Amino acid sequence: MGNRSKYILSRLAQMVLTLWIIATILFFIFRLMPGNPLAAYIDPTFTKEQQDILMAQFGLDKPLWMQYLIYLSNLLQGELGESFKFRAPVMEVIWNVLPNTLYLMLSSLIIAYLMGIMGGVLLAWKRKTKFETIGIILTLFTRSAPQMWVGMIVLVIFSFHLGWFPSGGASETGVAFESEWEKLTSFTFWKHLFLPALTAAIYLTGLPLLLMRSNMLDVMGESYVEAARTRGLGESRIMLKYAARNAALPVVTAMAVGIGYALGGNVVIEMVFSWPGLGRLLVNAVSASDYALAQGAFILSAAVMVTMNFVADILYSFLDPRVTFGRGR
Amino acid sequence: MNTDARMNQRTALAFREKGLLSILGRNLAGVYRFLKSDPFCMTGALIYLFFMLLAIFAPLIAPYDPHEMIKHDGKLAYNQPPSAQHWLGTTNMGRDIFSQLVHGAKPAMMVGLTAAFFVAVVGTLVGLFAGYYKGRVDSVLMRITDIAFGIPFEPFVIVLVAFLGPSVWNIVLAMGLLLWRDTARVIRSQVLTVRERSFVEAAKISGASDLRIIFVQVMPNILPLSFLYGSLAMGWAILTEAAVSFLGFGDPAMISWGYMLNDAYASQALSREAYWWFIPPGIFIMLTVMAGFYIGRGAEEILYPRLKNQ
Amino acid sequence: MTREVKELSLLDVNDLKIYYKTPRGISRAVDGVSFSLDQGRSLGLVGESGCGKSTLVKGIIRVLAGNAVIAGGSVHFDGNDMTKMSESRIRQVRWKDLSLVPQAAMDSLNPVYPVIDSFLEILMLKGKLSRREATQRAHELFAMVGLDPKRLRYYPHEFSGGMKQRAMIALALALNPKLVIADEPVTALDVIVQNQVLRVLKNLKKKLGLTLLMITHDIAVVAETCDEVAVMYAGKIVEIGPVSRVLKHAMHPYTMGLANAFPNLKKTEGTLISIEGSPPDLVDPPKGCRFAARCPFQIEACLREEPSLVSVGDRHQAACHRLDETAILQKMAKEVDTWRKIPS
Repeated sequence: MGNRSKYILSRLAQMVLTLWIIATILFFIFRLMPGNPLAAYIDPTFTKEQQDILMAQFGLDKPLWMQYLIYLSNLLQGELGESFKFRAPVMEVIWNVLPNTLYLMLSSLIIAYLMGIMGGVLLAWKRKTKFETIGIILTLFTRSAPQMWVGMIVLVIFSFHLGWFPSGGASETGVAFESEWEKLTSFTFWKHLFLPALTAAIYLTGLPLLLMRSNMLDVMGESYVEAARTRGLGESRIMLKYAARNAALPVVTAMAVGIGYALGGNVVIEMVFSWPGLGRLLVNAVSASDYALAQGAFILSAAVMVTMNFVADILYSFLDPRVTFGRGR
Repeated sequence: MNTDARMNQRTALAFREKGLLSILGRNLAGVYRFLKSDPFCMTGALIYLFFMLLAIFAPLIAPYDPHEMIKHDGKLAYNQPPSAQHWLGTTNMGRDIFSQLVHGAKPAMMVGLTAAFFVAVVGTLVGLFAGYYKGRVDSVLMRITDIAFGIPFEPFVIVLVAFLGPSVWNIVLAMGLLLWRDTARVIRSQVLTVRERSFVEAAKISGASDLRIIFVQVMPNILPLSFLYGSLAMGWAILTEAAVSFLGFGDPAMISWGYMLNDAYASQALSREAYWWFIPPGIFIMLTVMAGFYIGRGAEEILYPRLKNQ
Repeated sequence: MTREVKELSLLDVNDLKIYYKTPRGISRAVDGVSFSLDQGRSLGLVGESGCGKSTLVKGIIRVLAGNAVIAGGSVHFDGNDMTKMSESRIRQVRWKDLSLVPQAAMDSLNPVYPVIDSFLEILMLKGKLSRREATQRAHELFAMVGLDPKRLRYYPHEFSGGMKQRAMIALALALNPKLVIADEPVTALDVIVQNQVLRVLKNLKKKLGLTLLMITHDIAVVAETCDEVAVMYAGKIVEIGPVSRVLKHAMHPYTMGLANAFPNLKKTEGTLISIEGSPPDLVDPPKGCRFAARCPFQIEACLREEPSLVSVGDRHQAACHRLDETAILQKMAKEVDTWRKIPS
């Protein structure tokens, strides 16, 4: 078995372990809530039959350790209980909104990374000029500004003042999309997506930009760049194939990791723009004490994050031939 | 030899306290010199000083009580634009925005400093022990760190605060449970290199105990990193507190800048284009966070990010 | 000191001056260096670190750092003055007519591509070969230096020290250049591997009739592989001539010292003698002979006036005020005590 395969397997094992521990922690958190330990799954307004079904499904009258095992097995099957607010299986509710978060996150990541990489190359290129200094300070601004504030400013300018874009939601009020396909191909959807994606992108651009810039600066000083010049290769070829190519590696991996973080945490933007995604679902569920839903939303966020970290590690091992799979790390 | 004898008598904890103090003393002089030499750092320190003064002297500086609903001539002064009486106007409940802004420095500083301290201490300790002892200890600690990384930050804080109750301290606790993770990883890799250095070898050969080596030899070398991540954490903590307050889970007794943003948003300040209400709190948050980056030379860390593997 | 450009040489460096602008002033790294190299011959440029040999090489291929300028002189390669060529013209010359085996061997290749890529890049872009032809040529080149062509698929970091060096030699030969410059080709290798690489170089020299300019601080390496040697000190050439003559009958005290400083495995007796002191500051060089401060044979004239290169035999030149006393000086140079008491 090759070294790399061993590495992948060990990372996979780590990932499973992490997920299991997170699930266990969540199990206890939601049980330790003040009041009724059943509150995690049963809302007093459920009918008696519903309550009985849930009791059976989650073994809520059984000893704690049995509940735990049932919880785990349910988890693996995607059984997360019934949402108090929506009166529908948690999984179903989540499944409805999950794509929206994905679309938002992917769009903002793509915008951010495109802008970031170009910006990074540019800033590195224009070393020691006013352009660079201003660029860096602006970038630091974007990393320090609270996202909801940026979102609010964006809303005021582009939506309330100029009226170019809608002020929230993923569609016109009252209008629902028939299918995912219809959603993705409708102009309205993208019009609604634009402002939140832009806001998120503003914050996200900082990392790839600075990462790309610092990598470029490192690489530009490496011997193989100068050596390429002594071999009589052209400047643009050297910039791209020798400098940028080597500098871009970590940025690509950062993107995979970034997906995890973006999916995990963009609650605030979804709230400001009333975007119907996983983050907003979580906040509303918590506010409404819909514990089953909150628990489900949270577990899913965590699962995605852990998976994306794993993917990032694996991706990196393929991209950079210098990564060793020995004991060193 | 005297100190060694004393050390043998006391418990490890007491030793650590004593060691920490003397090391801090040595390092404090260095920190001051360092602050003076770096313009970024100086700027950050000054901004912090400004906000701390604001927080401490808020009751003297703010013309009104931030919670007070103000009436003029018997009428509630709500949604007023900036004027001589109200420099930044009033909220939709007639509260003076400028006073709120000034008082907002208090929760920001509290959260920022506490979180920073907590993160620096826990992260450093974890990194120190994991990096120095390696083996089992390292595996366990790193496994815990991996888990901390796997938990999405904002949702976790929200969930915890929602359950524990909306108070500033619960927010700090929730953040503290996760925020140390970056610091731990970075400190650990730094310790891995430092422990190979010859003066550590020399200390080992001369019979120094592990704890002594960790706190007297290794720690001074990584303190700058702790400081740096502490200041970065300050920025992240303030941002998170603002986010949590904005989402409505904040401490209602303390009007923080995040709370102000929530208030503004919820009362349609956007559509009324009441810039004076929601722009200033955001600017203050931004300044504090940036100052945090500057102070720990986090600017450098931010400007030259590295992937965790490196 | 200028002289007429020799028409027949492949490389003719004439009174070349390369200066660096430093915060402290102008550093005269290369201060009036002249030598010529005929086709098919090999010249070794010897000197300690800081003597200006790397600067010289960089100046020839024009990859000097931003703060360096060519302050005078010329470099005629194949009849054309390289110092006056445009950047695009130089780019054409690079590697096709003149190539370099660099000092930092494998750090010279793009680390994220397998080694064969660097070969294909050069062969296809500059050599205008098709992919198939280029691959074949790459295989040939590897075989020429004694490397298994299968290793072409490996990444640079997977090569060992000696293998790296040989691969770089192979790459330097890719386009059949007229002149190959080897910059410290064996410095970082242990003795056994050094021999391997040197043997490869010697074979190639014989088989291909290579014209070689070798830069090194190790006079033993030059003795093994080169026809002629030029000794450089503090930015100037102090002695130049056929290898056997210069080493057996060194005329300049510095050369005598160098010959002493390296262990000769064949000699069984004799202690290692090294030259005390360090080279002068090139921003403010001394008035007279630059080696005077470390020279055991220093006389008053040495501090006053700088000696110029004069002919001391067939194609052999040296720059010293005491050339007529060399017989005695050479004998004295072999004594340990001579080098111990250096006049200040």
